[in-house]
Amino acid sequence: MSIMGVTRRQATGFLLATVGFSLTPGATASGGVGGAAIDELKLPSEVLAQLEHEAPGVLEEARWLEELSLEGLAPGFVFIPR
Amino acid sequence: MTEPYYLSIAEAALLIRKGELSPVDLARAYLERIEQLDSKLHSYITVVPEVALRQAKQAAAGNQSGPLCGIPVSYKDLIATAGIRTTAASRVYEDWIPDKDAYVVSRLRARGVVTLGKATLNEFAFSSGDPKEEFFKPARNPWNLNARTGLSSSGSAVGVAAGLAMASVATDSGGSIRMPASYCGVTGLKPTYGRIGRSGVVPLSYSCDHVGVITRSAEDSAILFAAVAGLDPADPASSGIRVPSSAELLSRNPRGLRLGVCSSYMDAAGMESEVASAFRSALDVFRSLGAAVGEVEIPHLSYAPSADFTILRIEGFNAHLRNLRDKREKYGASAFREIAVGGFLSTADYYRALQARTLISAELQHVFESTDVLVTPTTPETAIAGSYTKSPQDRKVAKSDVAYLAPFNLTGSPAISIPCGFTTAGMPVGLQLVGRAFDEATIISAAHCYQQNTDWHRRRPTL
Repeated sequence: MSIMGVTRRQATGFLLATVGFSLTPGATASGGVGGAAIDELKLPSEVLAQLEHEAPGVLEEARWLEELSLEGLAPGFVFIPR
Repeated sequence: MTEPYYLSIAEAALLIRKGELSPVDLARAYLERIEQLDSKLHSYITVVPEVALRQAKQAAAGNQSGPLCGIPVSYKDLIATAGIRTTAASRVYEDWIPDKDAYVVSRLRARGVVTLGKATLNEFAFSSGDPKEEFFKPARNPWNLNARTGLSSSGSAVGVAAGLAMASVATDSGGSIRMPASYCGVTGLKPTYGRIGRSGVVPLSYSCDHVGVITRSAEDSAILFAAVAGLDPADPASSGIRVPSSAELLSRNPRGLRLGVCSSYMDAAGMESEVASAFRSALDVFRSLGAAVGEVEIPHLSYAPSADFTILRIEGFNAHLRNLRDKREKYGASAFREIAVGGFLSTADYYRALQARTLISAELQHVFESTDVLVTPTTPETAIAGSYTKSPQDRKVAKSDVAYLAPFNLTGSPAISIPCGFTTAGMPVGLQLVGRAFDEATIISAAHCYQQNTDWHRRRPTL
């Protein structure tokens, strides 16, 4: 489901961050809710409100990757022969 | 004789070796040129005449030798220089005077390279570059002061194009060397990830940041790259794989070289018609040199910029976390916005982008089983946008200025941008050559052969 181009999962994290709720580190790390690293900045609500205007474009860009079939693929780190 | 400030590194080194050019006179020629022109080009945040002349005198005294002895360069101002202010174009670092050189600076100092100053960038190499939101004045394009410069390593490219530095050391996380190189008509090399050590460089994105060089020719890129590449013990991502000599980097014959063109991706991203025309002409030059040009497919390449910037934003947010929290008021509005917004992305977004990196890297590796060099325009538009022949087909990358660039930060592939023409508006067009990991020699050789048979890289702006 998407709300204005943002997935429900992302929008949940986004809205929680916007209203200043802190997610527990466990919840973020599990990927279950996500999008709450912004809380670490402990921003004043008016600054957070300004940032929220920028978030949809960035979230949409990340969301495009959900179209890919990535199941079973390892995360890619650039291989560096020493 | 060519004006000293427009000599190539190879030409200047020969004259210095023969005693026909003094490193001190060369440094003075650059300092005078900077004094004369930089008030309108803003290619430097800091110029260090006393340091430059002292280092030039040391070079002249014969304590060092080699092809870089006495060569004057600039460093993008997020590369630490001992005793010289290093700002990253931000108030956060406005008073930072490092006590130690970055690895790449120490490598060049050991070879007698002369430091002219610190080149302009947009704040932390990630702000939008809006002059109203920048702490320092943005660099201006010497081909047209009102044209774009390509932001991040803009001061480096502008300075090299205008004869205010013989070369510049810069960084590239999503196209930051190659885009300004293309817009300013110079040569920009982003080597393989891990080739040039990053210790002492203000980080943006651990897995997308690359150090590279901006020069006026592929030959000069080879000389500089050979000097700075190699294992940096203080950078965990640094590689100790053997670095070819500059002669080896330039020696590969283009006859039989297999060039790949990904037309489906170029249709997806698009390009202005004069870029398309210059691109086709460049392919004809390579054909005339004996290279074969064939079609390739990279099925998911249009997802690569999204994956690169998702990774970059999350890693950038984390690299800046402490400063964003403790020194927020010192960030310019644009830099704060662009970096902090990465905090809305999730761990799931990051993991997915890393998986996309695996997928797209494998597809590219498959292409390189039967192709030596992937060829693209560097940017879909020049520094003054023109009209497109046809509408781009994929909104993920359509008209994106990083469409041809960011994919190779994602995969870590070496890539070089060289001038391949000019538009009717007088703006340079860039051609990008992408190679296999750790095979800089093939793309630098190909670029060098192209430049030996064309003169686009020898054109200079009127100032």
